[in-house]
Amino acid sequence: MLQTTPKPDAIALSANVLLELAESIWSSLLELDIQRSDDPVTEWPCDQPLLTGRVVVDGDWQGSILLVCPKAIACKAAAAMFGVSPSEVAETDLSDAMGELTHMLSGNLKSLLPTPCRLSQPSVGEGYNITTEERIMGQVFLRSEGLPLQIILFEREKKS
Amino acid sequence: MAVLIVDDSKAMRSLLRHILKGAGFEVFEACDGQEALDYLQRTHEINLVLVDWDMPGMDGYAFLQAVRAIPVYHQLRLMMVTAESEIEQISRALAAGADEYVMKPFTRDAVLEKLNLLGILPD
Repeated sequence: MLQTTPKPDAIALSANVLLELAESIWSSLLELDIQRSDDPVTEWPCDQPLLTGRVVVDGDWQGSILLVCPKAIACKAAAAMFGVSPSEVAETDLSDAMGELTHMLSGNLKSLLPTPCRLSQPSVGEGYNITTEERIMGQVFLRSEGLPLQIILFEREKKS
Repeated sequence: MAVLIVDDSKAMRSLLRHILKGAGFEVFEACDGQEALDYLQRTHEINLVLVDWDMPGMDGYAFLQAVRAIPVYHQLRLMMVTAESEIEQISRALAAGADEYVMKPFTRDAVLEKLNLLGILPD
């Protein structure tokens, strides 16, 4: 039977796993600093547009994995990936890099989810795009380059 | 030594291009499996293909199967580059003819170490 509320220890475990995955990507691939934030993001910087990358998981486990961050962080990540300065990053390249980061997080997380399941191609949109039909199974608040990021794992209840 | 990078992400192709050019490879790129197959059929100069697993259109696994079904490419070295870390998936890729497998996120050293294991690093 599907749990209606997640166990508190399951959420804590997920936060640690999400943190490790983010650290691994940020340090090895981007060479940017990243730390866990003690305070949940209550207010995103109002002068910074947000980007949300999303990968949908389908199969025995259904849900989605989101990476939310200010555009400035996505821009620094894209610059690191393209080997250019942040001011030289084109909008399409920004979306491509954000999608790839979300895809990497999801791919690494997939091995920890019930199998079989498959990942969608990543989608990237502006703003804090969260659906309300899914419940949060894990999340972590981070800071990189002085700005907040959030990674969220949502579970969608299967319709019988 | 010529390498073909196959990935739908321009950012990932850029990262790999930087690493491989720095190691002395001549680098070519394709956005998906079909484009890579078309490229291989036009030229026989490629020694190594680095291919992503998850791509729209022909994905990396289908590309791997297609390439290994063509006798002229039996000597071509193939390395899967993917974010998915399941053992079962790695085994499938190796059984289908991949020579190596590198996980995203990777470091420059991890990629070069895999190529060294394949004995394919340029002098």
